[in-house]
Amino acid sequence: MFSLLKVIQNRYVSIILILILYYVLSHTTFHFLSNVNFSIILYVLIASKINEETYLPYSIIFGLYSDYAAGSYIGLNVLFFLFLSLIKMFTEYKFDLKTSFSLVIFSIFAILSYNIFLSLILGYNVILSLLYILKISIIDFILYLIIFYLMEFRSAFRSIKR
Amino acid sequence: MFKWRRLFLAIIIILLIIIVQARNINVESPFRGLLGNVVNPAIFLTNKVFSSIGNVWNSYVNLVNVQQENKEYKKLIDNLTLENALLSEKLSQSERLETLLRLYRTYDFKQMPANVIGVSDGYVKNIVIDAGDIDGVEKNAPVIGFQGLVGRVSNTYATTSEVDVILNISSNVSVMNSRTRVSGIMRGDGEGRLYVDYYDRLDDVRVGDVFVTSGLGMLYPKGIRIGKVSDIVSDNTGLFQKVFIEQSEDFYKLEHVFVVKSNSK
Repeated sequence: MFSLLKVIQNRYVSIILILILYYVLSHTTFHFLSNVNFSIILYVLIASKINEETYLPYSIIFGLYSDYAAGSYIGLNVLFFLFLSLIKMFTEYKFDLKTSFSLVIFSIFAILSYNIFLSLILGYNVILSLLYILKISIIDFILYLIIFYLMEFRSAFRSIKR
Repeated sequence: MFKWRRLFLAIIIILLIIIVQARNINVESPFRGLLGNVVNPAIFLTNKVFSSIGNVWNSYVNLVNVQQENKEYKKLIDNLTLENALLSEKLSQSERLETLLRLYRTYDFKQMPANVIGVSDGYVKNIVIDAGDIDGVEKNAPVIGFQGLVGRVSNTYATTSEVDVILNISSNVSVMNSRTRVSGIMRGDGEGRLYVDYYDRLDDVRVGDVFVTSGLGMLYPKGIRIGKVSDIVSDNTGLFQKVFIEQSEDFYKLEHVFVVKSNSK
């Protein structure tokens, strides 16, 4: 029982479980969830934890999930998340991007580029579908901000308690 | 120091995997099958659990309302409500089955009934049905509903299948105007609407015309209803006009569908 709990507490396993749970819920009672690209939101939420050691497993997990959900060739989104992770790591080194503001800027870039990439994979005409892509990106970004600030508040309350 | 070798190795492996998939279109990725066989049954169970919870909740709400009524009539009302609900359900079930039977006899191709167990409305608009490889469902098999065409099977798993609905941008269904017999290519616009492209601007089309599948392209059988023309957009220049179609089938309220089986089976 404890070993099972330990496995679930592992960050990679917990992310896989969250993504599968989200996929199942978005396909059942909570259809509105399928209008949100949760994989990219979760990715930018944990962006601060991406480093030389973790970028590869994170890219594989998020990429495979996105490929499965989009029904595209397995691997295309893994390459995209690898690209995002590299950008995140190298901008962090060069410009010291560690503040919340810089993470928000990174998240805007990540969400917008993810939506454009996904629409390209699925055969959308990016020029004609630009408004639709923008709309989805804004929804994704607002949801990201809500979760991000909720997490910030939670950590602030935790530190007060201590 | 960043480990470039590890990154290049990962990229080469991923590229190899993508190339293998691209060159063998009929080969299903093992990962997709593995995850699909785990996730789709979970969708089925979750759907069942949530509908049960919904039923319990509805029963509770009904009970609270009934408790405000006179105590003497409470039992009677409960019984009548229950009986009424059962009869209504039976009636609606009978109507659905009657429609199913009528539809089954309308088309002269083999069909297999299936229940819808999951719906997704994102970039990829698809539904999940409770029939899969074991039931003989094949990839690319057309799927129809009471009112008309639903889409085609995009992925099959042991007991479930995913169906890409025609609302997808990449659906490309060959359709024709049932009045004028002029054909065009229909697809989704990504925002929940259907439109016919490559429809000659000189060809006659009116709001209210019914569009059906043309049978060209060999994927969908001829004569399956799609919907009625709701809007016609024609530019001053260009050879073609855009014909918007109001679909007959509400893809997000589907409960039962038919999977069309190939004649060889």
